[in-house]
Amino acid sequence: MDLTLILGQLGRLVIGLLIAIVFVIGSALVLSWGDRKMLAYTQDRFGPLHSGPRWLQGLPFAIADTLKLLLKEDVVPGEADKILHLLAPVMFVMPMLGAYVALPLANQFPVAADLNVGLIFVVAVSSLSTLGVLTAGWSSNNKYSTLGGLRAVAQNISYEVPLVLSLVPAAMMAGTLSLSGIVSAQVSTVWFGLLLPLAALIFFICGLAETNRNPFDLPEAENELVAGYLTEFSGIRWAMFFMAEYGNMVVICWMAATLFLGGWHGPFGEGFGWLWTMAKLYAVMFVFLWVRATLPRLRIDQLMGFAWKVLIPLALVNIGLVGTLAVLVPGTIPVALPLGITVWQFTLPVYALPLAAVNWAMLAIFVWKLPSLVLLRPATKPESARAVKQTVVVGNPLADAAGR
Amino acid sequence: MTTTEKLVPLDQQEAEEPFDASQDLILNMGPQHPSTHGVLRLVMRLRGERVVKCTPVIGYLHRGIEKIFESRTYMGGIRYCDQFEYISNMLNEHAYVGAAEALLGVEVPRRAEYIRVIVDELSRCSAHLVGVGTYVLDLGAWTPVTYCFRERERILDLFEALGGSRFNHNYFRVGGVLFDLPTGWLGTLEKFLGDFGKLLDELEELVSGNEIFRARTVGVGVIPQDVAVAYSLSGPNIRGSGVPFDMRTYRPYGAYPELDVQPQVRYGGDCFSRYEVRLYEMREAIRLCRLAMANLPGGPIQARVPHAVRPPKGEAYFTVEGAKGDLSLYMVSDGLSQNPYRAKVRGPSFVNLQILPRLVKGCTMADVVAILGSIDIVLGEVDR
Amino acid sequence: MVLNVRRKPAAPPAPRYRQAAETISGKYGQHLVGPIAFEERALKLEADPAGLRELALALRDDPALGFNYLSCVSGVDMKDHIQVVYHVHSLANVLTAQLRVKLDRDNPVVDSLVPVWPGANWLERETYDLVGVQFAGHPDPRRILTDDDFVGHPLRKDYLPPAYRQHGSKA
Repeated sequence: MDLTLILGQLGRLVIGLLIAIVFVIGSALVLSWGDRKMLAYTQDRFGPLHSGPRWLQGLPFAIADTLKLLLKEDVVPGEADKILHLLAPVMFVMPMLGAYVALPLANQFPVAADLNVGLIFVVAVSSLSTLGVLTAGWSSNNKYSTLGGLRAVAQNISYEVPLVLSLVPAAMMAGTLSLSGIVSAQVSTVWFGLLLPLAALIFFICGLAETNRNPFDLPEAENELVAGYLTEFSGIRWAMFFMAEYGNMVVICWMAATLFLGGWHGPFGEGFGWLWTMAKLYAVMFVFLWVRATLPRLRIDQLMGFAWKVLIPLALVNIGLVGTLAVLVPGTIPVALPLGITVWQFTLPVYALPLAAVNWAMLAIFVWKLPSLVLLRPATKPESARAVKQTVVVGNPLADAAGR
Repeated sequence: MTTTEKLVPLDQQEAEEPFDASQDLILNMGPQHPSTHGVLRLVMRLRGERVVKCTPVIGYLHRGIEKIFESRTYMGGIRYCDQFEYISNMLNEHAYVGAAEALLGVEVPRRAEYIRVIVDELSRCSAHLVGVGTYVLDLGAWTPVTYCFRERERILDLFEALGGSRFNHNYFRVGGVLFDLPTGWLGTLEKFLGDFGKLLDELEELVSGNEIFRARTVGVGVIPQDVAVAYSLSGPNIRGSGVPFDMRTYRPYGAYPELDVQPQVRYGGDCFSRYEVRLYEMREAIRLCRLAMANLPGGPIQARVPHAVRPPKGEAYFTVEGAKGDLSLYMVSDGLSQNPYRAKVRGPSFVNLQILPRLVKGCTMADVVAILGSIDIVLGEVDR
Repeated sequence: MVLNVRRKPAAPPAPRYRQAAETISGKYGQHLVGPIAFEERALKLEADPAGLRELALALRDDPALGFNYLSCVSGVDMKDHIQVVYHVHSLANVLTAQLRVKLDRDNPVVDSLVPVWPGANWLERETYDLVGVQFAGHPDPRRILTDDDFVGHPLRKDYLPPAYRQHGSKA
């Protein structure tokens, strides 16, 4: 092979990794601020306010926080497995950075490489981070950490399955596993999120679970496990976990933007493609933060039951639906949607119409039935339920005391 | 209920499962832990996520309040009531001065009794706001607790206007209360009660209607009625099991007989019922406050009681319905000294906590937190 | 006795208390010491320590009494003896009884009432811890509020707190 080609590709990879690192760090900084701000506004508070001038709304707090974390003492418990304890943050961060390689930023412009199996690559690499969590939990030699690590493995592996299954319909409709190919397919037809809303929702729920966010933050459930697998980490190692968690969230949101929200597709031409990707990514991220401020946490059995008994069957049904309709209903129709100042023109395969109809209907039923699906049994009305047998009689003291 | 053996606590009755080193994990939860509501320590034997055995260890906050009572005068002991239970301070003061008044046989002016009802109910609200807010926080929802504490701040502001102190009010006196209501206080209270009702509606929408909250609480930690009575539960815990046992109606005191208290009862017996009892007790408290404000009589706020209170020899048992349940004080006077000879506090949290090992058996780790939060203890009162 | 206190007139007890007192003294009088006294809303019984558990069982199981709710267990050091006071409620009949046993101060042993009212468990442990009453047959007779290696019973009147002591040390 030509030496210059190899060097050129290597150089591209290094540049891509640098982009990824800078992007992840910057993203984590902004997100740690945005997360707090979002939570604070939901909770009728101000959040960070006093770092820097008032008009920055405490944005420099993110830098101060990072500096604090970097300068903190790095405590390793005496009984910990020192090597694994050292390696765990690395094992958590590296897959996350690797996953960025294949993500498309704009047309013809992936972060590092436009892989033709990009979808599989991203999912496969990012799922490796589970290993880091398990290592962190095990090596800390702390019972809370161990429980957190075990919970994380159970949860991440379970939710990996519906996550991948929910991506399959998008790949089937695009006919390719390349992420830029999937976006191109959406540019020429329509955003898959509009045709496959159920798959998008399943992906979003699984994304929440994969990144250990509320309501699926069991591995680091503060109220049960103190900090779960992070209990014994401090200083820069904790900062690496922290950063990688936000990095993982960005990966999930980027995937959602790419696969279901049309990636770089948007008005004002291709030059603004990267901006649209970012905008969609952070829009999904906003929902991530919003959910965190709103919902309580599930219990572990409810969590696993929800994945295996609800999400996986639904995702499988969705795949079957796409395949069947794509085979049975051939042909395409051109569509022109007037959207304000522009007209959105695309050609739609005919099978997409019944597919979208069924998918939206399934989504409606799913959301409507969500309470009983989470409970995995019919939701009762506790007000009317007399679960306790009446065995105790309490007399009325005012009855015979006429003086009162 | 007839045989003696049936009522021996389950955890002491059954033969213990042998410890299996390959599966079992002894987890020492607390005394420093985010959701043990203080310095409670739970030694739990876990098998996977399931709890095989749970032993509460208490006493980390023991300050010997009962011993302190013996070395303070009757008036001087009131301020310590704010400290053994630091969430619903006014109710503790009421129990203490109630026992002292019963010893002394003093008749409290009616206006003082009505003011006591108002501050009692406000104190109950502030305690239930902490209870409900932190309970939802225990289940992982971050937001409702801030709403609860926002309203609680307003209650503390009202207390500050009343007695000058936000937390250690020291407002009750043997024979009455310390200060009369300041000018405009009732107007502020009325405004607060209106906003508070709205907050309760908001909470009910945000929390009670949440599917995940229901999934975590409905049917979890069910206490049957006979067990609740046998374990001497009180307050929202026993009323959540459908027993209408409320000291305000069972042993009416103060101005409560004139106010038509409706005990709030739910029949699920589970965590959700206990949570809901607390929520509806706050609504009931709003109603009682309004009723007491409407019927507030004039007159003195303090009976003629000497500074050096020296009751005759005797004993008194005075019960109030505290925020956590049956809060009683058993006070003995030797007729000679200005200090109580013995003042025993029957803390509802202390007695309610006994049932925890029985309830959490076989539950998951997450349910332990849910059940503990629903019992709603204050460690200051458990340890005293 | 302070003279200028305006005393509330003592209200007579409700008739149901007199009926309950007649039932108790009629059926279970052999376990009682002395007559039954009344307060406005309480019966005051003094039990023979040997017959305490039988009396408690009878109070709980007699349908005319039905004292099914134990509210409080208090130990009081009366200098010449130690008394344990139980406050029990009968939820169905709206009665309150104060049950008292007087124990020898040097060897205060009494039957545990946990088999009768399981709620007595921690209350009795507390009484043991602070006043030093031994409850025979208690399922878990350990200290509860103070340390396991704590010496003495703090609510005894002759308990002298050490001038300075490190937490938990025996010195």
